[in-house]
Amino acid sequence: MAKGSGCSMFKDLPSSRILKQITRLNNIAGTTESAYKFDQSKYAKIELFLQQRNIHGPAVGLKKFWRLNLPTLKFHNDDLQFVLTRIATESKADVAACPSKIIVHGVDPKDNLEIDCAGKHSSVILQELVKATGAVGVPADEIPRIKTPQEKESWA
Amino acid sequence: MLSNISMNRVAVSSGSRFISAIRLFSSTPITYKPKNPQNDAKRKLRREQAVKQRNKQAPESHPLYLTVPQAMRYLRAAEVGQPAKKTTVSILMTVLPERGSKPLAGSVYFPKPIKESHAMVFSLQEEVVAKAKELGATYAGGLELIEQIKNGEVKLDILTHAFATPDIVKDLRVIARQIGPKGLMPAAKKGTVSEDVEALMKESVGAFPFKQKEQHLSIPVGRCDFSDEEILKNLKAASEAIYGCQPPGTRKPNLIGQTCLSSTLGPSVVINFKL
Repeated sequence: MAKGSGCSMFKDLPSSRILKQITRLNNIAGTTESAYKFDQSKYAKIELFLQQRNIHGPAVGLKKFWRLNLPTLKFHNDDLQFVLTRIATESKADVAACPSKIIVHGVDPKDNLEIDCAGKHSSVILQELVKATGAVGVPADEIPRIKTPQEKESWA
Repeated sequence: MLSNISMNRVAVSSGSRFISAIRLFSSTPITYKPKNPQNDAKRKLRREQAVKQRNKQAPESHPLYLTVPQAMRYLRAAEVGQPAKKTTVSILMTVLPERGSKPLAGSVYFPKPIKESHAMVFSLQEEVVAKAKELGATYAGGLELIEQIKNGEVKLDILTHAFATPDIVKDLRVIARQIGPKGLMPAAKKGTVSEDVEALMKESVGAFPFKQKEQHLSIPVGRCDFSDEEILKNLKAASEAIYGCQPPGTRKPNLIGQTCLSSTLGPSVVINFKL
């Protein structure tokens, strides 16, 4: 059996149990480059549309965005609704027609935004989302960081 | 160390003259060394005591300690986008058993159950049927209910429990093929057939059974779409049930140690579970 999980979300983590969990928690909390706060009075819901199976090519960016960046955004915007809709596809024509996009629902329907994510890298999708919604970066002192035992007193 | 170094004469040959070579240390690995049972017992005891010490420490001193609202914030973030049904939040407890003590077992009544339980009651007596409906049985009835199930008018998929009074048991054989495979056949052996259906319903509907397995006890306490208060209430109910299921006055109680909160895809954190 191959060492380590095949799933990319859990790769490159320390093998010690405590360090692995601390790294995961800190990854969710994010860094100044990945943590943004949306204007909750203006936007109510962020909806992602993604293919159900065999994600490859144009849909990969959005999938990575969902797994890597979205948890950090949810962590800092707990009251905002995040919805993911998977679209089942049967034939190659369906796959080609399957949308890969983000719809931001505003409190006022006039503020609704749509961002097409086909073929884009997850970091590009994040930047576009931040720019379109005018999200504010979370300052470093507001991002909770859990210290490893080496940084604290040791856990006997 | 020195005991492993021995002079070995090893013959190296390929059919021609033997050339003996002297090696400075034993080729037999250290695992084949004769074991000293006393040292092993001492080491095992020391290890057990260290584990006990670790589990007795206050959860707040653990590097992964978080309060439940903070933990839920991380878990909700980790489960973002997943359908609500797949986001089970559960707790995992380390239980160190004392020698000769029974494993922890019992039931928890959650204020907000993770799975809504639906009960079906069969009885020929009308008062029992009426009482069952009062207590919240999804379906309650006598022969008419059996007829309805036979005709397929009743949705059996949502039902989790079924009870009956002894008088109607023989009539249930007609629909045994339909309710049997779903585990909904009331049987005296199972304890689902009794005159006092009311007591049966109160006991099992809404109860989640738990059993300690070796050194761990794990139960689901909610989902990520529950609010923080609901999760806290469920945790409190679970805590009372688990700490309370040891009969009072036991001289050797099981030591309940570290408790971790985790979700299907989320990380696992240590929480303070004690009442």
